[in-house]
Amino acid sequence: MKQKLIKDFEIPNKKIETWKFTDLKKVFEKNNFKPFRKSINADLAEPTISSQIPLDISNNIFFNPKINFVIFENGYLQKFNKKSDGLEITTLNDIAKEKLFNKKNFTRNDSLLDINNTFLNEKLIIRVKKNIELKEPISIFYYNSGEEKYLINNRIIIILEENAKAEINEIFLSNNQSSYWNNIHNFIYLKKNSKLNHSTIQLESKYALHSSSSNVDCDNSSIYNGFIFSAGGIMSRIEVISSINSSDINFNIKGLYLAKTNQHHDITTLMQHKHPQSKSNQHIKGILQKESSGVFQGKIIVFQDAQKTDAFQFNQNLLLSEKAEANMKPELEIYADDVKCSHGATTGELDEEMLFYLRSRGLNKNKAKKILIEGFVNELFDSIENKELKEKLLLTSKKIIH
Amino acid sequence: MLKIEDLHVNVGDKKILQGINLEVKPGEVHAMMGPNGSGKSTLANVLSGRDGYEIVKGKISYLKENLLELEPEVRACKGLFLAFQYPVEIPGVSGMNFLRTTLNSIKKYRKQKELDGVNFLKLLRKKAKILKIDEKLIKRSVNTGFSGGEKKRSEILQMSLLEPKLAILDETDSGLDIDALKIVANGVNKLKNKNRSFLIITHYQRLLNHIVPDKVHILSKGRIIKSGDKNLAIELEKKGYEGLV
Repeated sequence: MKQKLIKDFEIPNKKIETWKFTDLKKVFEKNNFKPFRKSINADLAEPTISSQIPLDISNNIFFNPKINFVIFENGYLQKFNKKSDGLEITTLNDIAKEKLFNKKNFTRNDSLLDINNTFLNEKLIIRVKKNIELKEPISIFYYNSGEEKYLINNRIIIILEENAKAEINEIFLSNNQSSYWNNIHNFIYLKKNSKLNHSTIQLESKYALHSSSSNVDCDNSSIYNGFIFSAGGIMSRIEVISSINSSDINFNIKGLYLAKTNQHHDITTLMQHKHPQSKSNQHIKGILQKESSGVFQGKIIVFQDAQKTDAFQFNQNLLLSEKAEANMKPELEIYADDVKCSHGATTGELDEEMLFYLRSRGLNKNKAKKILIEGFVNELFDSIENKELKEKLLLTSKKIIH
Repeated sequence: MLKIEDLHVNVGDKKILQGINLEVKPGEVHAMMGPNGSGKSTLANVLSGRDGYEIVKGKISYLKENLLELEPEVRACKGLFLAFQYPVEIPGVSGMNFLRTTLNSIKKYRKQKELDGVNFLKLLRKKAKILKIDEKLIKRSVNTGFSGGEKKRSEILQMSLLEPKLAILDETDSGLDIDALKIVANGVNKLKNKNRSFLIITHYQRLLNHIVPDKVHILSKGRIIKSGDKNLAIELEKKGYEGLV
């Protein structure tokens, strides 16, 4: 069989309904990103992996050598540190393990997962054993030192067994000048009564293209608390797709994109309520500066059997420049009759009344603006249970905004 | 302290204030009373520097400066304080941080020593106690989800922290029950001194039972039609605006 090349795939573009606002192809074609693998094939670029933890990671505020961590460098596992009992981290390329998932729950109408499959650099399985509550979070770093314009594909499979509880934070970093495409697709399996606090912290280089998805399969009474922080890259698309397969599931997503210069940030979610009596709640905010653009596409499907579903979605955008643009596309597909669903969206500049109130208390215009922007962000961070993470995210967003 | 001369103000095409003359001296308490639509809130807003008002004619001097040339924040730093009729809710901004930031911003302007966290908290607790404000309320987002009475008390708390030279209270009594009214009035009375002036804008006389004014003015259709001492307010309560206008 002839090996597939990247040119054999249609890169997502505006012709595809779910990519109406985000033209990945445009950035791809400008850069001509090349996939690579650890391979003897001379046509493929060779990865470089350092033996020591890259300084960009060890100096990063999200890095803590004392807790569980995993580091990918240019698509390959550089180091991992497993501290907690009841935690398994393996690199086995065991496709059988993936049969846990009903792939039908996560089919895509684009090529990203196929690209990920075809050019997969490394796959990791993280398993938290039954009844184990991890005391320390797990940090996963995707680091790119990118001398070349690489296309990088990773996949992590996260399994929380019955009654397991864990916090997993994924952090995307680079040396700031590199240009690459990170195409990461993760599958998360939450068994009965498990709870996952999961954050995606996207701080890619300003030249990078980022596409990622978290595909979350939920069993009875499981809890998923997702937090998306999207701030890097020239173009970024972060997806969360849920399959809510049972009752009493609590699925929460908070998301923030902080777009500056000419960045484009896209957060796209799909909530699939398949079973009665579960809840999903999404709150996505965007701050858009200069000529940046932001997208939130949120689709909620409530299947016919999924009575007593509560599904909510809210998107708020703050436009800080006349040239910034916010696009939102809420979609509700409801086939059950006894459900509570709602969506709402607002887009606007800073509130004049609030600004005047602060100024009338002696704060100058700039200071008043900063306080209001921080307030807009703070509201979202309140839900983060890990205080240390919350502080770090606050600090990071302050640096980006000011 | 404050001198307003022949002030004419329009909002859009509408003439709201049509020749206001008023002088407030240090330590004086003035009450500005008037029916709805007489221009009371416009006067408060113009004094505080809110946008959307066209000054057609007239002068306002505050501490011998041209008030109209100053940005709202500079007015605040120079000791002008407006207690809002409708205090604004600011979600996500902690009340505690907000109060400390504003206080220190003003202290900095006045070249006074800024307060650290500990000293600020001490001061805040003392002031909050007078107004019977629970500390939990201050820790929440500014005014967010506060009841009407809580918002008004929170305005007076800000006033007592910022120690203004001229405080304008825009219908601070509206929406307060009698107990809350007494607490607010007590808070204001504690701040009275020979240098600090007050301009109390109100619809009703009842607040003036608790905060006794030196002068009472009646505003109607953008003009002060009558001025007098505290007895004018009592007379007004008996006769109604129609009896006087």
